[in-house]
Amino acid sequence: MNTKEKNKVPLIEDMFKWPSDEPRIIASRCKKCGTVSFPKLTFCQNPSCEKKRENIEVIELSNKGKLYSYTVQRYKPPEPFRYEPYKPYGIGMVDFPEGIRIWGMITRMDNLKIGMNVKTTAGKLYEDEENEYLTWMWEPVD
Amino acid sequence: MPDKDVAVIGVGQSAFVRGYPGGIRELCFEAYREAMQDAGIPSKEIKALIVCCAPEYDKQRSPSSLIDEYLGLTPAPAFMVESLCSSSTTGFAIAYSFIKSGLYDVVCVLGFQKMSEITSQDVQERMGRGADVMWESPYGTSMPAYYAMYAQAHFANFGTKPDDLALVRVKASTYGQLNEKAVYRKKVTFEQVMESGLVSSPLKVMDCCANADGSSCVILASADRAKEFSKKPVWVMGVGQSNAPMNLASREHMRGLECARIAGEKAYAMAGVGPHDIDVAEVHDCFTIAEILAYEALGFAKPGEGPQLIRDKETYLEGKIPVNVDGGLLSKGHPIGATGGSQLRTIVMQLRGEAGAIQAPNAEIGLVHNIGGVGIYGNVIILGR
Ligand SMILES: [Zn+2]
Repeated sequence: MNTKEKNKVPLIEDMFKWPSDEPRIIASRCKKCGTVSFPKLTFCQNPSCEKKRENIEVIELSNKGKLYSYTVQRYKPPEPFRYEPYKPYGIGMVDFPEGIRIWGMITRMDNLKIGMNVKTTAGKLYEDEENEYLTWMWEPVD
Repeated sequence: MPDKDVAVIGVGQSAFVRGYPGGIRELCFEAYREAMQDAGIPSKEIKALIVCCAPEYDKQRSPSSLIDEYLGLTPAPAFMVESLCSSSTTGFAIAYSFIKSGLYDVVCVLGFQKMSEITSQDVQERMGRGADVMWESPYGTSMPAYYAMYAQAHFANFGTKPDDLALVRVKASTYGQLNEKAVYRKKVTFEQVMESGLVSSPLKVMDCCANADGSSCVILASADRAKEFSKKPVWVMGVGQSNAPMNLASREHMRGLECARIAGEKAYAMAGVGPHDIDVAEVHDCFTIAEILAYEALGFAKPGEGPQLIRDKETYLEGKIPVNVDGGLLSKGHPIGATGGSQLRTIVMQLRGEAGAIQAPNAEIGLVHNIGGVGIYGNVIILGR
C-alpha cells in the first residue's frame, strides 16, 4: 500500500510563491515607471519606458484583491488545460492594490459577486504517479 | 450622399454548413461564383485577390496561392489577411484602399473557413488560443467564458438579465428560419433558450453561435469600373478599425468593447453620418451578449440601455433599427474568415432592395460591425446607395 504523500508542485514555476502557507502571485515591477507585470517579465512592458533588465525587480503581490468579473465554466475546456477529475469551476479576474488585474480559477462556484474580496491560494489541477500539480486560485473571503 | 469613389459590385456566399464535403478550393469557389455572377464580370477583370481566413484551422499552408490558381485568377496577385473572426472586413478595408489609391481597379475579397478540417476539440483549443496562450492555460478558459465575463459585468453595472440575452436569440431565430444559407434554421422560443444548459454562466448553449464551414465573396471596383459594370453599385461610405489589448485583464473596463466603439466613431466620421442615419445593420453576435454590447458601442442605444432596445423589439424589421435580420451569426453559423463577408453581402442586398422577405423599408445606409477575437479587432463598415 502506498501511503507516501505526493509532492505538491506548481504547474508552472515562478508564477506564485510555493511552497508557502500564504501563496502570493509573483510579478515584476519596473523601478523606473512603476509598471507591474504578470507573469514577471525581463523588460518593462510600458511602451514608452526603456528596455533595461536592471530596471526590473521581482515582487510578490498583496495576498488580497477584489473580484472584477467572473464566470462559472460549465464544460471542460480542451487541452492543454487539465483539471481532473473535471467538475464545473469558477474563473475570475482580480484587481490587486499594486494596479494589476489577474485571471485565475476560483475555489468555489456559488455566491460569487463582482467586487467581493478574495485572497490568493493554491489548488490542485491534476496529479500523476508522483506529483500533484497546483495552480494559483482565488478564495472568497467576504 | 456618399462619396462615390469605391463601390461593391458583387456579393456571394456559400451555404454555411457543418462538415462541408469538399476541400477549401471548392468551398471558396461557391462564394466566388455567386459574387462573379452577381457582378456580371469575367475573371480577367479581377486585378487582386485578398483571401481572408484564420489559418490555424486549415491544413493548407498559404491558401491564397492555391485559391488564386483554382479560380483562374493568376497572374493577379493574391495574399492572405487574418484578424481572427473579422478577417474578411479587414480584407475589405485593404481592398478599399487599393482601389482608392488607384493601384487596382477591381479587387476580390474572399473569406472562408473550413473548421471541420480538424476535430471540434481542436477548434475549441484554437479558439481559446485566440487569446494569449502563454499564460492563460493555467486556469482553463474558453471563448464563451471571456464573453461571459463581459455579460457578468454588464449585469452588475446595468441590471441586464438572462431574459434579455434570450430575446436576442429569439429574434435571430425568427429571421434565421428564412435564411436558406443558415446552418441553424429552427425557430427557437424564449422558453427553449432559458431552459438550455449553462455553458459559462450566464451564457447558455443557445446564447452561443455554432461553428460552421463556409465562404463569402465581395467584389469591389473603382467608380469608373462600377458604372461600367453595375446598375446598382453600393458605395463605401465609411471604414473604421481599432484594436484593444489582447489580454482582457489589460483593458480599462468590461462594460462594452472599446475596439467596436472606436471603429464605429471612425466609420461614422468618415461617412459623415451618425447612428440615427443607419437604416439596417449587421452586428457580430457570436454570443447574445455581443449583440447588446454592439447596440451600445454603435450608438443605437446609450451605454447600459441596449437591453431595452431588444425588449421593445426595436431591432426587429419593424423597429427603428433592424439588426441581424438575416439571422446573425447565431443562426447562420460562424465560419471565422467568411463571417464579415456574409454580413457585407446582407447589407449590400438590403441597400439594393433585393433582400426579399427580410427587406428593411427604404434602406439607404447600412452598417456592418465585425469583431475579431473577444473584442480584440473591431471593424465597422458603412455602405450607402
Ligand atoms: Zn518602466
